[in-house]
Amino acid sequence: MLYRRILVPLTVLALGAAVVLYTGHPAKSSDHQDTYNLATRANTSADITDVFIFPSPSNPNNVVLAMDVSPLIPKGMGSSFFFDPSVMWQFKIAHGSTSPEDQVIQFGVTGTGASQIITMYGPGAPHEIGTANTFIAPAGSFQYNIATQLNNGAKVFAGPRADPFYFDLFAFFSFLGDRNWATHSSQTDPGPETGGPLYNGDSVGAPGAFAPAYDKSANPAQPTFNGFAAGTMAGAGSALGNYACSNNPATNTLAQIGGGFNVLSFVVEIPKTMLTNGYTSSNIHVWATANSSTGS
Amino acid sequence: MRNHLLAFTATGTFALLLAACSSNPGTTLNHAHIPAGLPTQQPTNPVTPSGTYTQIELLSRPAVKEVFEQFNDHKTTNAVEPYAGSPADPLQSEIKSTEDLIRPPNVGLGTDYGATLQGVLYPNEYAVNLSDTSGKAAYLGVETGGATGSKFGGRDPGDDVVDISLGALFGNTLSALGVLADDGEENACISAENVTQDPSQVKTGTFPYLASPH
Repeated sequence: MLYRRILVPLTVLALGAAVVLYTGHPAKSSDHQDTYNLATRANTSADITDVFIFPSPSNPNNVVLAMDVSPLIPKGMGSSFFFDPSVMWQFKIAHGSTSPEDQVIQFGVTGTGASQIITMYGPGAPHEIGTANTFIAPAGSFQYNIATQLNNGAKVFAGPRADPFYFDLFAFFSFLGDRNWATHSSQTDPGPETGGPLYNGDSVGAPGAFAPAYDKSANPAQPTFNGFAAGTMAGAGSALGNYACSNNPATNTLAQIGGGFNVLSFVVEIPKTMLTNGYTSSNIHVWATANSSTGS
Repeated sequence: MRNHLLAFTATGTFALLLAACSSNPGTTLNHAHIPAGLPTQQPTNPVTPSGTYTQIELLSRPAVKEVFEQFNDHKTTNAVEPYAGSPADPLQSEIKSTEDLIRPPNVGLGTDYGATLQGVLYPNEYAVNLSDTSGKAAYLGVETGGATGSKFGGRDPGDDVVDISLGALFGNTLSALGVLADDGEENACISAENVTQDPSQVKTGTFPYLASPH
């Protein structure tokens, strides 16, 4: 989950001086900041970081769908980030088969700042299959950062939450540095990937781009996560060679740096029947998209 | 989660598996009870925008694009359907080609980790069984017949999705499950990340369930 865009001043606050010293850019991970274009949009809420689907903890008849966007919001600044009114967010659902989608839940936003109004559309059949979409019939509207009960029985929320994703981002970049958008100067700049799909962190392009503990320039042939017991080895049969794993402390990047990071979340809890009635299968396939009215 | 995977031994099963309401709080709709206590919706909806919105971002399975796909291909994958397949969606072929660099197919052993992972992870969509009554989500739960914690599938905010993925890609998860023979290519240094979820990130029991901001 690669973390995407955040303003440089905020990065200084959030990631701390060490990262800025080494990168000069904000950092990313997971599906956080997974393209240069998404990472550099003025409003980062088109950048989906994680998607969750789980049974309701409070009602066994309900299911919860959550979509996190706007990665790397610094501690204490969650309620200072808002949604982009030019974007449509969607949960897309296919019943039985893996394609195509036959049901969608959409979100759109009007207004600015803390007075933003969010509208949920659906669940319902999509107007179009594929990647160019229009809004279907609205279910109801609610205020930013206020959990709300809609008339159709859905519970909805759109606002800041702690990012639940846990990951050692910089250790990941130590062997897949190409995934760090800051190692690319544009969407088309191949950056370190010219060195190959693996081991491309700093062997080409941006030596020393990572914090010292993870600087592969000192040992480029030894990709590793951290936190292994002293003496742990990669393994004699490994195609990458047998070498010592790092026993540096592992870091939960999203919780342990800068006091933790936040995201903006869309959360909807609905009766499972809203996703099954009228369909022949209770087995569904789900993904999330962000669509732009400007096409970029 | 990986422990659950390691405990799973149904070889054939894994392969096979690959193949309310009203406007008033506290009422029942479609057999679902929504408790009272939340504010109700706005009295009117804003005017629905009439334009067409073009997809610029796509996400489902965590860490799949990030691990397998070259960074500059993400933009292409973000703008296609998750079931588009090659060549429209480069992710499908890159799952195999990237894995092949680390664990090339072994004719003698009959192993092809890249092809197996490609079959599991593509299309890039969560599988969810809404009829499951375990009350618990588990990433890859449908695909593994419940080996990751339940047959509901989907993804819980607490799921250790990174270690699940790393174990399958770089570790011995698939051989431990009996899906493929052990090819001896496991790399302990990158098959787990040794990170746990912080208490400040843990899901709560109250809607909206995701933890309050830091």
